Amino acid sequence: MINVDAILDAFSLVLTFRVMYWLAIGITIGVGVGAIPGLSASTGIALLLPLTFAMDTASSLGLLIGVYKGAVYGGSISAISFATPGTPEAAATVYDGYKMMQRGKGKKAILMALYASVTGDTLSDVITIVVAPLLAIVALKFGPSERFWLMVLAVTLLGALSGRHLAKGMLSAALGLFIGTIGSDPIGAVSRNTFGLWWLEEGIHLIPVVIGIFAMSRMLEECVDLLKENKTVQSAKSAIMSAFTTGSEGLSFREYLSCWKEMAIGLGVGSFVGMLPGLGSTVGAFLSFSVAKQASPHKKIGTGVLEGVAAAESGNNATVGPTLIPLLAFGIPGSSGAALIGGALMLHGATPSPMMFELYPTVVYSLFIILFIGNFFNLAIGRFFALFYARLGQLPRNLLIPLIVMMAVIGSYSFQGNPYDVVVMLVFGFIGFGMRLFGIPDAPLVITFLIGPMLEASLRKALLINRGDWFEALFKSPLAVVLFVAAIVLTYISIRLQVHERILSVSEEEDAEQSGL
Amino acid sequence: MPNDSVPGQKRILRWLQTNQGIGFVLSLVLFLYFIFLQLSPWVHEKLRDGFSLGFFPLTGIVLMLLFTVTLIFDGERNKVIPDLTKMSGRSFLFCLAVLAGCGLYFSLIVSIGFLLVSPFFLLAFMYLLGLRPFSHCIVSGVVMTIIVYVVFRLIGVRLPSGILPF
Repeated sequence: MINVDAILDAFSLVLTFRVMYWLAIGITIGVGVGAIPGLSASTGIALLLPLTFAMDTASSLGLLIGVYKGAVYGGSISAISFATPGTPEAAATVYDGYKMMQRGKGKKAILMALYASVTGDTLSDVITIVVAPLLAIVALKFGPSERFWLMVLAVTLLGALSGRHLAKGMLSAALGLFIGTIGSDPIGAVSRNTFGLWWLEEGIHLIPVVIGIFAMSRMLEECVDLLKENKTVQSAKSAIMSAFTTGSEGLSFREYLSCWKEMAIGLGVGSFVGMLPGLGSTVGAFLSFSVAKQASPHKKIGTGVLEGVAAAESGNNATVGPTLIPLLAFGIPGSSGAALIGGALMLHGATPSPMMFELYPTVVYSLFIILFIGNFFNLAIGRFFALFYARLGQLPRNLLIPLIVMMAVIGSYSFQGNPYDVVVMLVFGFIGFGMRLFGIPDAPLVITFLIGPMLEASLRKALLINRGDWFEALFKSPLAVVLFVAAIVLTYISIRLQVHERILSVSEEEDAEQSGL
Repeated sequence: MPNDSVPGQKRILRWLQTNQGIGFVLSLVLFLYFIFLQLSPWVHEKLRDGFSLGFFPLTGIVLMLLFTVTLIFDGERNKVIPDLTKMSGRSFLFCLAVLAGCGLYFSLIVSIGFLLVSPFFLLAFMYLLGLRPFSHCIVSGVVMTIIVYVVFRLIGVRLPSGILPF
């Protein structure tokens, strides 16, 4: 299975100035995107996705993975500096990080967040590099029936785990499936479901959809917030400046090592959560924080200690690599970030599928190398520019929203010069805004939109092979039956576990403790 | 305030802000769309593998309908959606205006050019969102346009030039 030639090719492709340059740019932008409240990794990747069309595959992966890694870490900077998590995944970092900032130990907390993020991320990348090829071997044994059930399993898990309300998560997934049918059917190429519009006959492209859902809709939401309360990040310039002055207390190597247990918890929990479709880095951070708190009650996690920062930050960054495992092994993205990276691979002709390792080994190994090297860039950029990012987090919303809206418009147009893509982006911006308003998660929509045509093609191929016999097509192979049962059992378990309810209760408990202090 | 004293119109408005209300409205829309699809001739066209052309779009609609109906009856049906209660008509109109403004901006950059239109779009948008003084809007609008233009050109992505030669 290990293709040495492809690995060597990947090294020669990645270890060039051009790719390293884009990786550094990606992380620089990513940490900034993460540090600015209201923007997320998905927003950053969605906005930059059209630009990758003009790049080579390795450079585009460098840019997007850089943004992804940088943004997941970057959220901690504003979480610690002014108690406003830059991204949802940094919310658990506020509990200990901001208290440390108030006590004048902000620099220590930010450095711990950086080192824990990089540690969790690097080690989880190793897990990704080991696990993904092994699962890909299993995936090669799958026929159309098994692939169909695997995708059903992924879609139901996504729907069940993506939000607090099962019906809303599933509704989002069903909407993604429906939108995926717009255009032409994947077997006969006959146009369908085009609402009578000729320009929809080729279907809807991923780029305007993701820009609409992840960038435009969020900016509409920010506009509403701004109008409502004229919301601006409270100035905390003096506190931030004092935290970063040379005299303020840094982090010793001994202190970093003292948090090994919490980082290990973050690594384990984050990697596992990352591999499951639908959970994502916010759940990774909160679960790690919660497990670490229960595992070591004497450390008083949640009261402003390094261990809390380490657990949360290691937990959220440890999801970054493993979230790509289902994408690389089965062609099924497990999160919106993975879906966007899958979209970038599709743009460059390397459509994610169970044959990824067979068909595009150089691309997969390039991605692994970029994942790994990206951590060192993250470490360097985070270490030297943390103050700059803390200040960036205070950028006024009314300066930022117009810029992102402009980027959304020109980004959706520029990648294929089609004016209708702008219309699609605006429509999905409005749909995404409505979904956020109603509390419907957006990740299942994007992921099922991406895998919907594959799901349909697998079912129809299975039926063709079995001469139209539905029972034979769906349940002939024992593996298909196992996957069918797993879809039901895992969905039931995930509903019973009420992961989001538990996370909410952790968050409420911490908020109550904080207000009581 | 006791529930009886709430005027009928307000009660309906409050119900529409619950999961049940949203579920009901979405179910109605989806049901009507399902009927519309059933009446469309292309839906019943047979494909070579025996499927009708509308099988998968209809499956998507049925699944959505299933989950919107679930919203009407499940345990959280009476829960009020918090973000919806905070949404005013003015905010909603502002969102529509932003989308319309984006459409107008795009049509203008295609005909006049990115470099000429974008500074005005940015400064107007920033001013509307409350950035003051006005000189900040002008400077930010011009600087951001130039930065975005240079970055796109460096990457090799062309932006609409309009009446300008570049």
